[in-house]
Amino acid sequence: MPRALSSATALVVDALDRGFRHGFDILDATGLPSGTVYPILRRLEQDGLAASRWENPKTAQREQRPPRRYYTLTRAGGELVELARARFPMLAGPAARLHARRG
Amino acid sequence: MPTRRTPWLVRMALAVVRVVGLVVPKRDRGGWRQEWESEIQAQRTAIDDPAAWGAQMQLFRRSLGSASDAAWLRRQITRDSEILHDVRHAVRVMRSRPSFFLLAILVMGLGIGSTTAVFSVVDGVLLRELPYPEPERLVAVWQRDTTSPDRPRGEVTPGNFLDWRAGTSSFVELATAEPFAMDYTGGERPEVFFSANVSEGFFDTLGVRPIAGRLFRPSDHVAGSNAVALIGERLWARRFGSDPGVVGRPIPLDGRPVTVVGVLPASMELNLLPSPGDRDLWMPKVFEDYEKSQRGPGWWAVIGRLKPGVTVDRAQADLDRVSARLARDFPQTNGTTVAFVEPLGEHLSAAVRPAVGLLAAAVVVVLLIACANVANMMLARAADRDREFAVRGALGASRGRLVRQVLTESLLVSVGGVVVGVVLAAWLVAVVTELAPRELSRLADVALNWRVVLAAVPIGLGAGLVAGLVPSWQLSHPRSPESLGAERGSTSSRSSRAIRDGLAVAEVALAVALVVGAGLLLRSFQRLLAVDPGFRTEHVLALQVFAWDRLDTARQRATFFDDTIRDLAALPGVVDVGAVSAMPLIEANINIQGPFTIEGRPPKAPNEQDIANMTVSTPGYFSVMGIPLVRGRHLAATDTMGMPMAAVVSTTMADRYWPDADPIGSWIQGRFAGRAVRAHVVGVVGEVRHDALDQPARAEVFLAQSQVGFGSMTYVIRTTQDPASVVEAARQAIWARDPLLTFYDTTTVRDLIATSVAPRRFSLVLVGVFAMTALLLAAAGIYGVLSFTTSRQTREFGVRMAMGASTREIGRLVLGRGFRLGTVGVLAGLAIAGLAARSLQSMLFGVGPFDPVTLGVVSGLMLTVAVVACYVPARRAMKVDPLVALRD
Repeated sequence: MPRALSSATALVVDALDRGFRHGFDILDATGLPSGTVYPILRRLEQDGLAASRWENPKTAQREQRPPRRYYTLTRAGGELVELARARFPMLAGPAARLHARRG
Repeated sequence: MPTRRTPWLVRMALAVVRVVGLVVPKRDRGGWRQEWESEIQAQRTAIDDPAAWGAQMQLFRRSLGSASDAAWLRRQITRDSEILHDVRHAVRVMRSRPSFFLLAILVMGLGIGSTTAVFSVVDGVLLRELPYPEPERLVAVWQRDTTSPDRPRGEVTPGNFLDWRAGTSSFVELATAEPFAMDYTGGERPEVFFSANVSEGFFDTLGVRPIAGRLFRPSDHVAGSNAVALIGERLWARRFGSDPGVVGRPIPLDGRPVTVVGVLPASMELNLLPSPGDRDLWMPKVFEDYEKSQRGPGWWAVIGRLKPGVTVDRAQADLDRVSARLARDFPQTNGTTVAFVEPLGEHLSAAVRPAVGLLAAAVVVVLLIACANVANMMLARAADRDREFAVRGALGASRGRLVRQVLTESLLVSVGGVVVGVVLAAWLVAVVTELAPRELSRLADVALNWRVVLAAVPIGLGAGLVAGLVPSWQLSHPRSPESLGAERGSTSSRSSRAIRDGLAVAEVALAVALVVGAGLLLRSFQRLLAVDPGFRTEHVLALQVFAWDRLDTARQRATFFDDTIRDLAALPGVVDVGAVSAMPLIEANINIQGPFTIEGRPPKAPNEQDIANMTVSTPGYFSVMGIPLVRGRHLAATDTMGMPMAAVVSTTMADRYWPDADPIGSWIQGRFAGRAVRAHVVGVVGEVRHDALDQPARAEVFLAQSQVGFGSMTYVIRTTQDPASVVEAARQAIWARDPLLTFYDTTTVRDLIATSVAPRRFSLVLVGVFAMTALLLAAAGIYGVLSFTTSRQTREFGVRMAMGASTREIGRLVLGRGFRLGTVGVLAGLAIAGLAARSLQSMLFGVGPFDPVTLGVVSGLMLTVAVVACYVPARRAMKVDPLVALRD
């Protein structure tokens, strides 16, 4: 568990929980700069709160791009979501809206 | 897997990731790069649409974030203490050689500062969004004549606008603004307020809200409704002291009370309309019946808000359909007219794009030279520290450790460079905005903001990384234990010498290319100023008036100008006075173009008719402006309303339409200001560069004001002294005849010329400054390389002298080396300049991109600078005492 849950980390965790799976997707969802989001993802993975895997190359090929690295919350990370939302109630804001728009 | 050429910003982003990847620990590096590259390459909009600047810039900014990512990963495997140790050691090293590192920091600061300043300009001009909600849905619609492809942004006529609005479905709202001007008589003196008459929904299209009062209501756009107006924040402050009480109060405009219903924010004052751009008064447009059928060349601006999900292309197709129908219905006026849609704001930056592009190129060159310079300095330092590194290596420091040490030093240099650079950038931005001509009005908004300062950090760190990479690569070569015992006098290895020379040559080459560019711009500018405009440029004052109110008939207007000209001519210090409808180079030009026929010639088809500019002038116009009479006679006071109309034609007109005959005595027929005109040609006058110094003279017919009685005229007043000194007296003289007349433009002909060349002057000064910086840096580069090698060759020189070489021969040795470096650099630079020539072509005037004079002078200049840079090292080499050199 991270020592202190920053608002940026909370945003990232929240975005992961809402199904945003890869780096730039999370940037779009959180509006945070890349220099903030990636180290957070690395730390979450290092702490065992998130796990990453490579996308199926066939899927990527169909969309004519290299395979992406996808991140998901682990079970321990899932518990963090509640904590994040409890501490930062405004999380129901931008990411949620964007998510809703995408269906 | 991009299908077409990847835009350069995207390529830069990929390059950033590739370079930053070097910092990532080896075991993670492959996956790390793949992750970043896949994200970048998946951004189809940024890659596939070369015009998607915003998306590309965002991509580039995101790629810079990879540095934090990489740094985080690196920290996981490097103990903090090591980094701290590196920094502390680097600081110690820097303090032991303060002058060396100060110089490095200054050089770096120069590069970072100029890059940051130009980034602010790019940021402010090209990347900033319009200050309206959902700006990406806003478009401008122009009227393009397919027969003049170089002018895609033609203003629109109301007839076409109304049909576009009625016939399309792509827009939530399509609105227009008619540039206008109102005379305000509520102050001490009458004054012009530049205004716009806007169609219903104009402000809703933009999404602008008033800061006080209300917007127009549909009922305001109905004929016969109460006169209302909105004023801009600036005008509100300037004339009404930001008094909220002005809302609801009537103000006298064009002689009638108009109620101010609201105040609009300053963001409305953008240059959305054709020039002059600044508008601060808006009135509701009520379309007159005759306007509804007005087509042909126009003067209105049209904006629209796309419906959600509708692309610019679809809107274009939608409008094309309407244009095709209009072309069928009105072949005379709309046969070759199509609509042209572009994102709003695109045209705001279109004028500055070439200049900004040039600036960006110049500044990248300066940054590269600065990097090469610092790299070379670090390289020299590293060579000096052979022993230190050999000792540390022997004591067990890994090569990676040593590389990190060198990188830490160069990064510290770049941190210092960032500090110097930000200060320099703040100053440069102030200078740039000060110099910017009015066309670049968006530059006025440019400011050094936090975004830009933050951009300086990655630029600086990138530069530091680049500058540190070469020396670290050098270091990472295996070092023999013998270096431990090696003496200072040993010649450095062949490869490191080649790298140093190569860097110096590259600096010279880049500087030469940039100086050639600046030289070509300078030559173009000289050529442009040397163009004979065809009229007198000194001691002429121009006063533009629109005298239509209170002067209802042509005869009244003719008399008014007759009287005022006589009064003006009687003023002390005034030599001669005239007036003209179409004043050369003036901003609000009254250009009236129309078809004409020459009597006795076979009639032409409607679309093949000859077109000429119809201008009205008084006899004095030609003498004040010094426009020579070529043949026949000038317009004269005897050309009065009862007499047959007289016309004077320009030489261009005479040559074009009477190539083998004398135009004098011919009768021409045409239309002027809505009525048929039949005039006989009485004279031919000299050429005038009417539109710009670099535009050809035009076919022009001058009619006599005494026979036409036109109202939109510009007085030209020739003075004995500074024309500005008679402005006040001239105004008073005219006000004595009409106390409510306003002056639309007051300027001197000299200023008109200066304004017309201002954009060129702007590019020239900026590129010139950067070129000089590049030249200095390149000189410093050569100096650095030579002083380093000569200091290393002290022993060699000692031996040579002991063997009988004279000091002159030693000096020649050093100078020759510098000269060789300079020559190779100059040749490479000329090659680069040749490759880049095409992109500069459009900015040149009267000089080719391979102008031998420019190339020759620049080469000579660079070689001279190179030789001068060798002087100190050569002197030092010549002073070597063989005894001392051999003993050491």
